[in-house]
Amino acid sequence: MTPAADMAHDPKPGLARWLIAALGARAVQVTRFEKLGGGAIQENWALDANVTGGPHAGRQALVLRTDAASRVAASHSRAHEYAILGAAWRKGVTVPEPLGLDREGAVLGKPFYVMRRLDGTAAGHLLVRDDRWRGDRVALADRLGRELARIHAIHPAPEAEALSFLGVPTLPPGRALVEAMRDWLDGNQTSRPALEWGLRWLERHAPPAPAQLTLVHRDFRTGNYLVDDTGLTGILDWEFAGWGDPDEDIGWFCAKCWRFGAEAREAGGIGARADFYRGYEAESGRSIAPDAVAYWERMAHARWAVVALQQGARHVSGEEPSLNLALTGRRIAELEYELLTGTEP
Amino acid sequence: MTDVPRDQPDAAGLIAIARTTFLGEIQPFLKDELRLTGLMIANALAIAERELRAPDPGLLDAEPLVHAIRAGRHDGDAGLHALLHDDARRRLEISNPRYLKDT
Repeated sequence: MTPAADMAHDPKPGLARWLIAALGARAVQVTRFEKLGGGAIQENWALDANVTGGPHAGRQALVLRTDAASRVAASHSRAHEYAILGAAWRKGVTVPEPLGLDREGAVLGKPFYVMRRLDGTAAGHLLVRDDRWRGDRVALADRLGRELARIHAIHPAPEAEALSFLGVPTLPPGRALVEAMRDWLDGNQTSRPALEWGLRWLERHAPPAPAQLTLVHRDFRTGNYLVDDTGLTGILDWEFAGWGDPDEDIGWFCAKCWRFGAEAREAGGIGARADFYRGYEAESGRSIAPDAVAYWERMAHARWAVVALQQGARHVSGEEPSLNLALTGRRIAELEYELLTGTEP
Repeated sequence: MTDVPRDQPDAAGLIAIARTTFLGEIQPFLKDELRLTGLMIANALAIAERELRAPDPGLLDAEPLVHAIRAGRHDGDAGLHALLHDDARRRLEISNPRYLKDT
């Protein structure tokens, strides 16, 4: 029996032994190991440890991230996600410090990695409404623009070794995404003329490949970063990252479907688009072309539509009965409506 | 043969009163994460009720249409775009009518 299958087995001593090696410590005592909420695809566990010796001596508040029962096909393995997180960390992106990877799954029966636990909330519906953030919206939008620009400073060639598992698209990124979405629809016998109209439009209007491919996060949006009273504390959820067109992330962040109802604040429901763009342009030295971003905002609705179908299918298939997944599946109408609104002939 | 009258209240009527009762008598006692779960339950019931009350949509043979769209045979087809847009609006009236009012 694997350790994970043995539910009566306390994983804490095994984790403590693993942490000794991962943190270069003399001794580690795990004082808390508790599943955190959220995460439809991955599980996050709060892990508190008393560390003796080594560079991380002291009380450490950590997060252990591992696979949930089921995964979206397009998401990376934990090992790949750990490598991407490491590349972002080295480039100065504000992310949880990656601290160790169990690639083989020897400790829990499935691979996991451990990173520093950060303060703050990621809940989009709170961040767009909570008055606490009102005064900081300009700073937050500007900061998020700068963070995204740092992500886009990561390019394939220098990372050839660390990120060799990321495929380099042979088609222009927009067309590659359309092909991937069609493949999923075909593989799941899903015929949706409204979505297909949008995909065809996106195929016909796809921009050429960018002069230089960059790392794109592919889920850089409100809900996937942490904010506390002082501002941004970390960018999360790197499981969809890949090489692509940097404008894709800008469009995803600003798309109407990610404003959590705060439509007037076009930068993720938290700030003005101009503030977000200014931060991005200052950090990257690149001017943002509004028309190019508009294409990727339409793409955002198509991609979100496919994700809604995928999440709904997890419920409908009986694989993972869940009211939340069921309701996400029904968001397809809103996403197809928005996609059609933006793709008139 | 004529339709046999259904017993009343019908399915939509039962869902409506179940939802009203849930929101009036149970939801106020829910806290934190359960409050959100309660709102999701009420939302699901509201969608189901609207769907039951909505007229049957006309049938559309989706698969050949999908192939034709991909092959480019409907590029610039304003009539098809309008039809698909109207259908998405009809579905949105069921799944999230507030979206159309708010935006």
